[in-house]
Amino acid sequence: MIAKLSAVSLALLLVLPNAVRAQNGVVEGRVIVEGSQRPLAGVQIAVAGAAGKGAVSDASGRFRITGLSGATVILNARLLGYRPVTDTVRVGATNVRFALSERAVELNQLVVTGTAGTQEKRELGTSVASVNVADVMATTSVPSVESLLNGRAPGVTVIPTSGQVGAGSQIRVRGIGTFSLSSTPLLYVDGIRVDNGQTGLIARFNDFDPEEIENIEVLKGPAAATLYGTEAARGVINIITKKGAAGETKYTFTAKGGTSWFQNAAGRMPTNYWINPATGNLLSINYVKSEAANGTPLFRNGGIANYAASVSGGAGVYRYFASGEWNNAEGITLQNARLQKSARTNLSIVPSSKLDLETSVGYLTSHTNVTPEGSGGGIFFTGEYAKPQLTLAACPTPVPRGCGWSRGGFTFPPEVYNALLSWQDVQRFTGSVSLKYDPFSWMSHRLLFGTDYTLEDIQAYTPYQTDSTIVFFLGAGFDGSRSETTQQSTFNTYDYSGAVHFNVSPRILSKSTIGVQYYTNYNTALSASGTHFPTPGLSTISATGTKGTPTSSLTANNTLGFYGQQELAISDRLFVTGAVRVDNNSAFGSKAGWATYPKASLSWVASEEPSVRGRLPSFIDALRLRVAYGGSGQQPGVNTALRTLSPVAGPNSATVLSNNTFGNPDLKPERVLGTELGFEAGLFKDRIGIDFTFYSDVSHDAILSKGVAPSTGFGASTQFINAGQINKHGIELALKGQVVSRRDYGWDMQFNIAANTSKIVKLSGAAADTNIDLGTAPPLAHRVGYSPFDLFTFKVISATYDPTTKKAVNPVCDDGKGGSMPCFAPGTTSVQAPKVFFGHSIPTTEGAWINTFRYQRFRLYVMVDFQNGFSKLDNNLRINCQLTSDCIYSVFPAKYDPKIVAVVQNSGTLRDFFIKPASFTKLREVSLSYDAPGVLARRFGAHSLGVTASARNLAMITKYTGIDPENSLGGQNGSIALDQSEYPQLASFVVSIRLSY
Amino acid sequence: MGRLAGAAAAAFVVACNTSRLLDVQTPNSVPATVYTNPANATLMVNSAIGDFECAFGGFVVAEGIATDELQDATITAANWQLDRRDDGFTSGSYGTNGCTTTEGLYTPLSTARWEADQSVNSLNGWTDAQVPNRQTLLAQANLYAGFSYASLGMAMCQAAFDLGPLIDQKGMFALAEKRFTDAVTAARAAGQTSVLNAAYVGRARVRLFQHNAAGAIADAQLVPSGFVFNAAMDATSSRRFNHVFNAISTGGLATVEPAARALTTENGEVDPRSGTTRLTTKPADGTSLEFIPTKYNAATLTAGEALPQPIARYEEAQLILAEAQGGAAAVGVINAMRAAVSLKPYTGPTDAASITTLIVGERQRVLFVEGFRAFDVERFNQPLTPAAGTPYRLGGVYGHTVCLPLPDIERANNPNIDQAQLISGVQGQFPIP
Repeated sequence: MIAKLSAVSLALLLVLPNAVRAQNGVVEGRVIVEGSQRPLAGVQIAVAGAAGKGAVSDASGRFRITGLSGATVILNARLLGYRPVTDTVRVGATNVRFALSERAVELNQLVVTGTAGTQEKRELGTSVASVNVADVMATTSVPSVESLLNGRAPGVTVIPTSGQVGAGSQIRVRGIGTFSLSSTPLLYVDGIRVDNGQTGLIARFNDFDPEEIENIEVLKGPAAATLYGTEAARGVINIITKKGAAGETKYTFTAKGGTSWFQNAAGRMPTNYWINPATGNLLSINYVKSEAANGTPLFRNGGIANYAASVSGGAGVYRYFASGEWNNAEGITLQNARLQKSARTNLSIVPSSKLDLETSVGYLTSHTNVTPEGSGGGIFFTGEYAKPQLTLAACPTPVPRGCGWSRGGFTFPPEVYNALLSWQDVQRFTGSVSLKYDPFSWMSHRLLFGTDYTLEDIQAYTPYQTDSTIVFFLGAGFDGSRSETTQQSTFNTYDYSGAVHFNVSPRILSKSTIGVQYYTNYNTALSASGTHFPTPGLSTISATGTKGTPTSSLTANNTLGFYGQQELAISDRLFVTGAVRVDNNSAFGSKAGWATYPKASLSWVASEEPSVRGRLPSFIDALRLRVAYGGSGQQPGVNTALRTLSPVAGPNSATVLSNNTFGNPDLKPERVLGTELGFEAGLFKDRIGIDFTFYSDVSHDAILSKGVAPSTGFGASTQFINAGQINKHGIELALKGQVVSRRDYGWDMQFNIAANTSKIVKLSGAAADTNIDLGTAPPLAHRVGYSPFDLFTFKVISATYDPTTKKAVNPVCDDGKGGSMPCFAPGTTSVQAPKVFFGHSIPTTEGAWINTFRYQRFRLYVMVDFQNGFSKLDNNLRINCQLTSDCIYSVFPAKYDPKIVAVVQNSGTLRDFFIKPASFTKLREVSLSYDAPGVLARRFGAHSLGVTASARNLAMITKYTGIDPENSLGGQNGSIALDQSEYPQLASFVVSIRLSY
Repeated sequence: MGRLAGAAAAAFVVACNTSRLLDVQTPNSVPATVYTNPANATLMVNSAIGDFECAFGGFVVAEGIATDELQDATITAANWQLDRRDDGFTSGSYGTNGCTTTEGLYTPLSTARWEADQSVNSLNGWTDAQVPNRQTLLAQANLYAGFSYASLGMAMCQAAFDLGPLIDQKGMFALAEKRFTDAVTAARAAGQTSVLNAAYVGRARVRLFQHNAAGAIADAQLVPSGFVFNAAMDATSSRRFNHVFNAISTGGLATVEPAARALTTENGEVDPRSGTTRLTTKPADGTSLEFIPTKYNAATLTAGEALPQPIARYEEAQLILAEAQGGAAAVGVINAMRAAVSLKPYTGPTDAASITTLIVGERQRVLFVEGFRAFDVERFNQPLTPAAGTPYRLGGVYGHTVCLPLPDIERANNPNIDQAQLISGVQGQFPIP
């Protein structure tokens, strides 16, 4: 008996663990990516038929589900971006393995569209470009938000201004659709509107640290942005920051170090020439070489150091994410550097299934040393226009004081510029609170409010100088100066939206949404300045002897808008949506009423339609067709509708008034109506994805800043009028695919391309007005039949060289009709020929080819991007040729085509030679990553360890002969086509180490 | 909770006064609708004076650059057109720049003219009971309107007013004379001696320009010795600076033309009235030599920026007398002026041509960089210096422009401009006014 009992007991002891495990219902396993076999985190594993049971895979891809019963369960493994996998597994199994394959097309992806919460991509009639920032940052090192968007969002063109550290870019969504208003898209962070402006070279876009961003979504075109109302016609960029997820607390640390440099500086900076009239000797100078020979290199390699850390997690009712970053970057001159520190805390509390409270708080402080360069002089400036006649070799004997002291620099030698300090300090707080309340399963509310506050302190300071060289060059200003402008910008967002949804029938789900948004924007500025310190060592404005007049200003602008949207979802595959948005704004004229914007869209997931599914070729796994029509607007500038007078200094120390703005009481917003249609398809088991969009937008009442006849008394102002119509259309194509996917190696590829054309249909209101020259250095014009801001100038087609006078004479120009005519009116220097088209000022085609090659634990990431179809004024060459007359064409006119010489010798009128096609293809990013094995990571006590070496801007193919086809002098549309004395996009090399715990 | 949120939203939508939500402050500027009223009469006139004084400073510099007094010293190619006297250029900064920006002329003078005229019109519509010192204000407003029209007439070949049609130089001088006459009437009534004398000088000037010698003599004779009516500059703001000092000494944007750095009488004596001073600072172009008219030079920036700029003065009245009277009378006037600065008298012939040459030279030196030279070159049909066709130091060649054509900003935005009636300002291509 005892023996039997013992045997039973033994049997029980042997069997019981499995039995107990089975009864306790445990399943354990791991989720990996098919092909690469890398662990996949965040995968939801749900138990079929057991609501609430399931788990989420951790960073190493592991999951564990408890409390199961029965012998087997059916598990569904699901993660956005991957094909779901369903498998039957034995309860008690500990080595379950799910291999998920990436989906090239993900229709269930959630996107932010302006309604309460998010919508699935399948519901939308429009295209939404999405950049998974966390993925990108895990693969390569990207320095800014703008760099994240570049090449990764079809239809979004990033146009850099300068290679200075901290310099921002101009972002254009689907080209330019306005005459005179901003073309910059709206920027939202976690649902609230934030400052998207630019102060000097520095863009507020780049205040946000890529390490704290989860995702960036771009709503392109009026149909997509309708619900964002009267300021969204240029598109909307939504930045979604990282949030915590339930599970273990995760820590990440990232350290980056590297350098940046001006690639081939000596080869890209000009060599200038001069023939000494006294001796007949030819002198030349390349300032990069001459300064290097002098032992005072013009440029340096800039250091890059970045440290970031984050912690995230959550349990029960709360989730959290917190991060901090310290980022130091040096430019290629002593005048340029940036130190930025930022922190973010995102919290989420879910006290009940009906209530969700989220907070998002970010703070940053930065100090950026910048140099005005193209707009005010700097080291690049003095080197770009270096003059041989300013070298010591050109000085007479005995050498007069000062002669040769600039060593050939156009203005000052570099050490003088190094004494001129200018910088921008920024403190920025961006915070929001979102309250979601779902009282019933069919009703939801969202109340969101937040603020974005930016304090900019812009300073220029020249200390009292004692160095004799600097004193010589600064002349009367040797004793120093200081100026300071403090600007505060506050954007407040108050946003309510509510939605109800219910089944109209078993197949039809109705979603009704209403919303109201109120935005306020409040800007103040305070400036003071002073010159002449009495002694060295003083630095405040109070310590100067001559004080400038302090100024202060305040501008405010409010927008109030309402919307309603009705969506019908039929069988979760056909979605019909209609909406209307109504807006008003402080800047509208007193006679302008509320602006109304309609929207309608249709989305059909055809591949899920049974009647269609059977007829589709087997290689098509997913197919969605979409079409949308909608409108949004663009408001005029603050107070542009009002006629005003401004206080100014008057006689007898009195303050008087002077005419300021002419105003326009009839001013309405620009109203852009657009149609877009397209499709997404997943092919060959979702390994190939295609996303195609065609759009056509019409800007009605396009606002033109028009000169005011001085005879009105208001000639110093401009008047905004609803002048014209601009039509735009284009295509966007994104191809994504897994070319090769094996266990040890693979090749993923993405190709984006977008093309747009725009045409001015009506201009300036009057039928006779077909052309407005903008009077900018690049000869830009608005001309009916062409794109806004196209380049037009006189085209010299021939000339005759007179060796006696060394002049190109009798230049002949294109007559605009296919023939020719003398450029100048007889006996004058007045041009009689018409200006002809010389190209677009912004790219009409842009795109990128992104490849990721994987071999075991190594990944090679290569991004090549391109921008085509635009031209630039190489104003550096123009200045050297036409203004300072020391370019090779000026000095050796006999050697060159007389038509070039004619342009060079007619500085006031001709400049076609200096307008160059600027299309380029750049090797933008190359990175090699290594995911260390767990055993190595564990030596650091970490779950994972990754090392990435990244390089940027290593190579370029272009016919552009200037410094860099991406250079521009900053500013809005009128300055984009101007390449003048700015740093090129720098090459850089960065090594980063990423540890996760 | 749901009801609460819904109710809150509904309340927000329905109950809030949306216009109040859209109201914003405009504390930087005054809406024009609240500006024009009798309580602001003094402010309106002072504003017109302030605008004129700023515009006048810009006018003197721009006219100096346009003729052989000043040379542009910037590296801004757009500015060179004025200095180079490009033929037929209409897009230059003379048309669009403001009064504190080098070469600003047409726009600031037009603004000043409009403000002064608006003040005149408003004051004429108000009563003495509504506006204390109305006659004084009327005299001032008319005086500055007169000088605005006169300055525009001297600089511009043609202009327009209040979106009206083209008006030529004679037409502008006639408008100026009307304002000066009204200023004389109001100044007499108000007992404003300084305004009265300035109006006499102004009216004498434009009567002379309209070939009304008798009228010019009548007014010029009424101007007392030593009289000067200044734009009272000060160092508080760039609008108030002495523009010549500011452009040359502070900004390094201009310098005296080489040919005008030591102007002499026919006797070869350097005339101290047009003396210049070499500065040690470098102009913006880094290559020119920096010379400033001595009468606009000062030891410190603050002192220089506060130097007054004469708008009308006794010496001009005397030169008007000399020109209008001609012959020996002219020589007498001029020699008296020379004696005051210890220059040798004129002893040459007194035929009309010789006297004209004398007058032109004397005006060039006495009124050096005061805004007269360009129009004198035009109305006396003087040879251009440097001659047209001479290579300009920064490229191109000098042109023939002697008065500024109506700028594009007016051509493009004034629907009442008859394009067929526009003239280029090129010497010899239109009648001398």
